[in-house]
Amino acid sequence: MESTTENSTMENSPRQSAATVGIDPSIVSMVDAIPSNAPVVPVMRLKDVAVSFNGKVAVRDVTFDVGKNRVTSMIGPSGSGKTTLLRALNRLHDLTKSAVVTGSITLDDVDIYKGGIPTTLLRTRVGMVFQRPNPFPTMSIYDNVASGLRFNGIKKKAFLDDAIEHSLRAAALWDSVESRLKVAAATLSGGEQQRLCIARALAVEPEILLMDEPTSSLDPVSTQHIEDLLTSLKEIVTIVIVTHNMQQAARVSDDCAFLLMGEDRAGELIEFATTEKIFTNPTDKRTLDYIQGRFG
Amino acid sequence: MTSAALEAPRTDDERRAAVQEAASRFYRRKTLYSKLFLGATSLGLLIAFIPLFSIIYNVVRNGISYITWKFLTTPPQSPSIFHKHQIGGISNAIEGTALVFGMALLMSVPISIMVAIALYESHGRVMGALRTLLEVMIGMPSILFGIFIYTYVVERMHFQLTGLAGSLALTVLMVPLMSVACEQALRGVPAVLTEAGLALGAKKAQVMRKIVLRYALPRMLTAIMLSASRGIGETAPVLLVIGSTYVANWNLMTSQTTLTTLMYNIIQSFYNYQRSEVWAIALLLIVVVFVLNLASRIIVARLNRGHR
Repeated sequence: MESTTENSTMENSPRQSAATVGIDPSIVSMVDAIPSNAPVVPVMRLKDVAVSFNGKVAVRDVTFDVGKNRVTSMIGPSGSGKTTLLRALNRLHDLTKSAVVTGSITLDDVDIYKGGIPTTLLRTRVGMVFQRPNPFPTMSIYDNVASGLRFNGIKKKAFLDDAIEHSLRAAALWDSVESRLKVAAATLSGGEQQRLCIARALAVEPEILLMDEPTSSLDPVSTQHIEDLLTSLKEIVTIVIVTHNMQQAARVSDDCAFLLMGEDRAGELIEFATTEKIFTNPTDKRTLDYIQGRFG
Repeated sequence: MTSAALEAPRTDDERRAAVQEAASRFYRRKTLYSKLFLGATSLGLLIAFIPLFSIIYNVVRNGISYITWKFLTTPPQSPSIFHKHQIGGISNAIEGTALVFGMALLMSVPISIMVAIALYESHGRVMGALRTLLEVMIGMPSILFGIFIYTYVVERMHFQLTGLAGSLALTVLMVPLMSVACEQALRGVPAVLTEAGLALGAKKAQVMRKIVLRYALPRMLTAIMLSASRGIGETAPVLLVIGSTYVANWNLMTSQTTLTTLMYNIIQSFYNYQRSEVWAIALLLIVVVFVLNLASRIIVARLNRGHR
C-alpha cells in the first residue's frame, strides 16, 4: 500500500515528520500509522490524580482520559510513577495504609474512590495483569481461570467451563492447554503463565484491563505473543499498559502518557496524546528527549 | 622480600605476571586455611552429635528390653519387697498422654491459626506489642504455665488435679510457639498472590482461605508438628496440675498420668528395677516424636507435589 501512495502521503506520514525532529524512524515505523476514525469514547477519566505515601508525593498532576477499546500506554523512566499510577486505577493502594490517592478517577462518570462502588466490584470491572506471571501455584490451570468467577459466587460448572474456554481462547492459550486443564499452573512456561494470568483476568469480563509491564520478565518470543494478543484483545476490553519499553508502547498503543520524575523526585505527567503524536511530534521538549533516547 | 611484585608494575604484562606469581605463592596458605576450617567445623559437628548419639544409644540399649505388648497395654503394678521385678505396664500413661495432649492440640491448633492470621493481617503497634509478648512467652520457663493453671484453674476447682488442667497448661505453652511459627509460614506467601486475588475482586477473607492458607499449609503443618513435639515432651507444667492415676479412665475431669509425669514419678522410686523403666518410656516418646515428624514430612511432600 505504501509503495503506490508514498509520494502523496509523504508530507503527513509519521515517518517524515519524525525525521524533521530527529527521532529514530525505526521506532516511528512501529507506530500504527492508520488512526482510527471512530470517535474516542472516554471510559475512565483521571483528573489531577496524585498518589502519596506517608505524605510524600510519588506521582501527581495526572489528567487524561482512557478511551474505550483503545490501548493506552504509560511510559517513562524508572521512578516516574507509572506503576504507582496504574495501581491507583483499581484501588490496589488500599492495601497500603500510608497511601493516599487524591484528585478524581471516574469509571463511567462514577468516582471510583468516592462514588460508592464497592472495591471488590470495582476490581471485577477493572482487572489487572502483573509484572511477573503470578498464577496461583496451588491451583490447576482450570481453577486459576475459574478463581475470579468463584470469588464472585459463580459456581455452575457449565458456566465455568464455557467461560474458561472463552477466556483461554481470548488469551491465545486454549490450544496448548486444552488437554491438560487439570494440570498445575506452575508447570506452564513463563510466557504461558502470563497468558494464563491474562485469561484469569479476562474471565471476570472486566471493562478495563490494567497491565503492569506484562512482558518485562519474558523472553522475546513470549513478548511477541503477548503484544500480538493486545491488538485482538482491545476489541473486547480497554487496555492500560505500563511499559519500560518505548518500542513496545509504539507498537501496541493508541494513546500514550509520558511521565517523568520531577526535581523533588515525584513523578508527574508530562504529556498525554495519541501514540502517533508522542512519537512523531511531541509538544514537550522532555518527551522528545526521552523518545530520542537522551535519557531513561 | 622487596620483590618485583611489590613495586608498581609498569606494563600490562608485568601486572599480570605479578598477580599470577602472588596467587601461586598464596595458594598453599589458602589450601591450609580451608583444611583447618573444614577440620574445625567437623569437630563442632562431632561435639554436637556425641551427646545426641549417646543419649539415643543409652535409651535404646536400656529401654528396648522392656517394650513388650504387655508393657504397653497393662496398668502399672507397684513392686514390693517380695516382687521387686513387678512393674506392670504403662497403659495409664499412654492413655493419659493421648487424652491430655490430644485435647491440648484440639484447643491450641485452631487458636494458634486464628492468632497467626490476626498477626499477619494487622500492622498496628498493638499487634506488634502482642507479637513481642508471644515471643517472650516462648522463652519463659515452662513451669510458669503450670503455676498459672494451678492458680487459676486447679485452685478454683477446689484443688482437684485434672487432665483438663494439664491440657490447658500445654495449650498455654504451645499457642505462642505455634502462632508465631504459623505467622512466619503465612509471611512466606508471596504478596503478588494476594494482590492477584484482590485484583480479581476477591474479599480479603476469600484470599486468606483460598490462596494464602492453601499456599502456607505445608509450612504451617511443619510449624504445628514442631510445636507439638515440644509440647508432648513437656513435663513441668503438666506435672503440677494433673496428679496421677493407675488406671486408664479416659476422663479429662479426673487425674491423669502422662508419659513424662510417669517418668518423673518412677525415677524417685525406691526400686532400681522400676527406675530403669524410664528408659523404656523415653524410647517410646522419642519414637512418637520421630513418627510425628516423619508423618508431617510425608504429608508436606504430598501437599507440595504438583506445585512449587
